[in-house]
Amino acid sequence: MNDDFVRQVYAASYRRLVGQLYGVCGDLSEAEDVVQEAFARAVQHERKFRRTDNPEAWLRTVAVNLCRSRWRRRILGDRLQRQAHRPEAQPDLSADHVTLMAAVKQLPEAQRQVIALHHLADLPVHEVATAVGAPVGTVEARLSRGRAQLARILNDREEARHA
Amino acid sequence: MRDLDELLDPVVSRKASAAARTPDFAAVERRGRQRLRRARAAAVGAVVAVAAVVSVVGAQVTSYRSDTAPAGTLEWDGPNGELARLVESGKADGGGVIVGGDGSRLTMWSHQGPIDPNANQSPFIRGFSLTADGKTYWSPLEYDQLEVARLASDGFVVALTEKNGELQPLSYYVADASGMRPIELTDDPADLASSDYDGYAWIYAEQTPGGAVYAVDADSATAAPVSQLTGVSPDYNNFGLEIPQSDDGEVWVIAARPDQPPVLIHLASDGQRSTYSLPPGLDQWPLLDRLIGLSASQDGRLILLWADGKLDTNGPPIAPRPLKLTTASASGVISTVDLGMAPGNAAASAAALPDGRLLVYNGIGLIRSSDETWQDFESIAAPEGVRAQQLRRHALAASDDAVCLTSSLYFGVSVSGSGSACTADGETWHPVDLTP
Repeated sequence: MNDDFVRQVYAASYRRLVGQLYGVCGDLSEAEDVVQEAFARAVQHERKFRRTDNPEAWLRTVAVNLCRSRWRRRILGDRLQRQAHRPEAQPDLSADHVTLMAAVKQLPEAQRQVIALHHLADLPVHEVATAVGAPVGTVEARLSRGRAQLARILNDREEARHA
Repeated sequence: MRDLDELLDPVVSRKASAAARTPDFAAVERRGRQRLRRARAAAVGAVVAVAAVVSVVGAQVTSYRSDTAPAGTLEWDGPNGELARLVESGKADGGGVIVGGDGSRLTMWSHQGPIDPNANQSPFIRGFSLTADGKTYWSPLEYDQLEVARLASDGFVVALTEKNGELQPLSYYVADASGMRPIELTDDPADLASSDYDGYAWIYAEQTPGGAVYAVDADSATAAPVSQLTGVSPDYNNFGLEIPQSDDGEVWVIAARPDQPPVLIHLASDGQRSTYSLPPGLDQWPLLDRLIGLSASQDGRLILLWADGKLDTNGPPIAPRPLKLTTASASGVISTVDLGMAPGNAAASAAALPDGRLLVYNGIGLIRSSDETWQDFESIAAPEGVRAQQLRRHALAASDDAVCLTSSLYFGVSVSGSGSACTADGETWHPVDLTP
C-alpha cells in the first residue's frame, strides 16, 4: 500500500495534533474530527503530502482551517448529532483550567487560535504563523491582544463569582 | 484562581492528547478515499457549469491581505470593494455558482456599465466572489470575460480578460483564499503516471493557440499540457474550461476529428488512453445541437444527456426530441436509456445522489432512477416553491454530500431567491441561499 507514510504519521502525530487543536476548536470531539479529516485529506493528496517538508505542520494547518470553517461546523454538527449516543470525551482538567478554557472560547477567533497553539499547545510563534497562515508579527500582535483580553474575561468571571 | 501565566500551560494540550480517542487508521483511510471520489466528481457540462451547496448562513464577509502570498498574486478586494458594495446593494447580477470539492463556492457576478456602441468589449463588467471556510473574498470588478473550472481537488481555475476596451487573450489563475495566483504554463507534457495533479482545464496558450487540455497543480500554480490528448478538440465545451473528471482522476472528453465522427475518449489517471464510439444519433456533427449535458458521477461513470435528431429551429415551438441518457464506465461499458420526449431546446441535467441513484431534470420535470444501474426512472416532486417553468433555468450538480438544483445559469438572472435547493435523496430538499 502506498499510504504507509500517512499511516506512520498518523501513529506518531494524531494524538499530539488533537491536543493542539483542542484549544483552537474548544471541543475535544471537534478537535478529533478535524484532525481525522486532515489525515483523510492527506490520504486524498498522498503524493503531495509526501513532498511536504513538515507533514505535521501541513496537517495542523489543514486542521486549523477546518476548525475555522463555519460551513464545516454545520456539517460536523449533523455528524455529531448522529453520534449523539457516543459518550462525550473530555480531558481531565483542573477546575482552573476548565475556567480558562471557557474564557478562551470567548476570545475572537484569530486570538483564540494563536493563544491555543502558542500557550496551550506550546508551539513556537513561527509554527503558529504557519498554521494560521499569518505573518509572525501578526501572530505576536494577536498573542498580545489575546492575553490582555483573556485576562479581562477571567477577571470579570472572578468578580462575578464573588459578587 | 491562579495567575494567567500559570494557567496558560501546555498541560491542557497534553491532557487533551491523553483523552483523545484514536480510531483505527483504516477508518480514516476510508474517509480519505471516499473524499477523493467525491471531490473528483465533475460538475455539469462547461456551458452550464453551475452548482450549489447547502447554505452558508451568515458567511463572514472579510478582506484578505496576505503578506506571504507568492509574487504575482492578485489580492482580493475587501468588503468595501466595488463588487461587494454592488452585490450588497443589489446592483450586480449573479451569473453562475460552482462548488468545489471542499464545499467552497465561487460565484460570478456582472454589472452593466455604460454602453459604448464603438467598444470592442461588452458593457458588462465582471467579477467573482469566493466563499471558503466561512469567509467571502471579493475579486476586483474589472473583467470582461470570465470563465471558471472546478478542479478535482479543492480550488478553481479562473480565466479572465481585463476590461480595458481591447480584445485580449485569457489569463489563467488558481483562485483560493490566498488570492488569485497566475498559472505558469509549461511546455513539458504532464506526467500523469507519477504526478498528482489537482485537475484539468481547457486552456488557450501561446504554445497551444487552438486550446488544449492541461493538467493543473494548484499548489505550485502550474499547468502542463496532456500529451495523450494532443490534437483533441472537445468542441462540446464551447470555450468553457471545465473538463469532466471521474472520481478516480480520470478524464472524459468527446473529441472532434477532421472529417470523421466525434468519439468518446477516456484517459485513465495513469495516462492510459481509450477511445470509444458514441451511440448512433450522437456520432455526427453538429454535436452541440444534440449534446445537452456532460458530467461524471461520484462512482466514475460518464453521464451524457443528449437529444436525438436535428434541432428544428423553424418554430416556435421548437419540436420536441427524444431525450437519451448514455453512460460509460471506465472499463468501456456503454449503455443508452430512452428518457422520453423533451422540449427541443431542453436544458436537461443529471447528477448522482450519494446513494448512487441518478437524479435527472429531463426538460419537463425531475426523475430519479430506481437504483444504481440507472435503467428505470420515476417522476419525483420538484422542491417546494420551484415551478415547472422555473426548472428550465435550473441545473442539477453533485456536491460532496448532496445533489443541488440551482438557477443562476446565466448572467442577468438574480442569484438570490432563485429557489435553489439541495437534496441527499431526491425527496427532502433544503433551500439554498446563494448570496455571499
